[in-house]
Amino acid sequence: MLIWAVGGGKGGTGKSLIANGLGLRLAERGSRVVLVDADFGGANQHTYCGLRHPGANLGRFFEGKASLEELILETRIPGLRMIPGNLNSPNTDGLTSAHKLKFFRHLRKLDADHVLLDLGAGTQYDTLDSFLLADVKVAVITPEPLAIENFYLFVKNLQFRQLGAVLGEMRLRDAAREVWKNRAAMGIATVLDLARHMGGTSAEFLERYRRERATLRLHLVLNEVREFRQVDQAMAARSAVLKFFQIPVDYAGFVHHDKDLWHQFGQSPGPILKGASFAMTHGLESVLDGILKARAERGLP
Amino acid sequence: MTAREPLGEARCREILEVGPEATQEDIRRAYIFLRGLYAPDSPALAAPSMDEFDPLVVARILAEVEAAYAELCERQEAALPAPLPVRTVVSEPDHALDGPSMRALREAGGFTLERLASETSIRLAYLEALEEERFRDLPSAPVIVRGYLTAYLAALGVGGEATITGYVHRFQMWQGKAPTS
Ligand SMILES: Nc1ncnc2c1ncn2[C@@H]1O[C@H](COP(=O)(O)OP(=O)(O)O)[C@@H](O)[C@H]1O
Ligand SMILES: [Mg+2]
Repeated sequence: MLIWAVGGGKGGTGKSLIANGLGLRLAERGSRVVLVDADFGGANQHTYCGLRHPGANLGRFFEGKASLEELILETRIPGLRMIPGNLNSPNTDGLTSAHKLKFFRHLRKLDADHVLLDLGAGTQYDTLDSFLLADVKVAVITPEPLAIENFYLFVKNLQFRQLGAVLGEMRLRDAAREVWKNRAAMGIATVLDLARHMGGTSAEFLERYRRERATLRLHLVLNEVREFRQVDQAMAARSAVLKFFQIPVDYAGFVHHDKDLWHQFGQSPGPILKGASFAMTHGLESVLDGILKARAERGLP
Repeated sequence: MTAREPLGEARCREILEVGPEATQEDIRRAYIFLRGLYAPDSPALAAPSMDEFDPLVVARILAEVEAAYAELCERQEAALPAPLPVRTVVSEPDHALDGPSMRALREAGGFTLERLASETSIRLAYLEALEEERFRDLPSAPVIVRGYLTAYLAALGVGGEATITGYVHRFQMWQGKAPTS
């Protein structure tokens, strides 16, 4: 079973839409899919699924009152099911890491081939941790400077959070904090500089961090394309993440802006994207193929 | 200039972000793209005020890109066109619509020519001629060529009025007529 996370930083870039589209495509190709609305602050994946009044939601799970299985809802598409997000509860900033690990442990036990997490915007720890724990990491951007800037911020925070986790595990967090305090004198400016420095002091850390870093690899999706040349912006973002953060990025493809999409909401009882335009359907197909191809090239399922 | 350690073919390709299957033309395009992206006043890197985007780091990346391309040129025994002089590239993004970029866009979208032909109702032979810029094999009316280009891009789900004009002008130049529109 594969856990996917769809994130990327800025709100409104189409993370929920892409998560829904990928889930729908996978289900139509015969997989058993569960879409999980993990946007704790702004859950709306149920609307993309065409469900108006989802009953219980993930909040019940975090309160220890329901299992994930009990929260699963059917959609009108065979093979596509979903778990609605935290609609009424206050935000979940307070999720402990024990909560999160339990969440992922239970996700892995779901009876499904693919579990897709629709993540919220921003760089809250919950979002970053869910993204880092996923097997398939999908980042969505739009061809817009602000979206791309937030994406860089998202990447930087991912890197920082991942480093922090390994430092914590190796009981090096305090030492690293000291180094970071005096970073100017040590010529340390970036997360990678800090990692390198710590690597110089502990071979064990270096080895552990290297293994963890190898799991940080992104599939980049460009959404809301309106013009031919905008595809270059995804290529630029891909290059920048590779060159400045040394994190590999596979460009998965683009989805064009569909000016009639809003019209689909509330039209039919099934998932919104069932009625999407040819170009949007095709874009989502090619994004899914792009992701699967990049994985296949690395010998992954 | 002091002699530098060669980077090696694999490293050069890595720096230019092209795979082992990349053709000379792919390499040249990648070079021009990266060179614009990491230019000193690159608009693409203007916004992020983070330490990773330090101008010194940007300059180092640019130097690496230049070195990698120069070395690949040498390796291919000057089969690649020599690096461009600085000023001509920095502010010239490679955005004009042309046959190869149309094809790249189509392939990026996972479209076959056949699929596109059935989507647009444009004959396969014309689509091929558009991508290969075989102007003689296209209908002679520029307005039809423009229509084809619009339909082509629309089927891929992208607009591009501005970029179409350049293509049509080139077509008209080829026909020996003054551009009209
Ligand atoms: N490719 C697209 N074409 C047209 N509208 C889109 C597209 N992608 C997203 N939208 C719309 O933009 C809004 C934000 O999308 P959403 O998926 O909710 O973003 P996020 O989950 O990243 O906050 C929604 O109203 C959605 O329908
Ligand atoms: Mg959302």
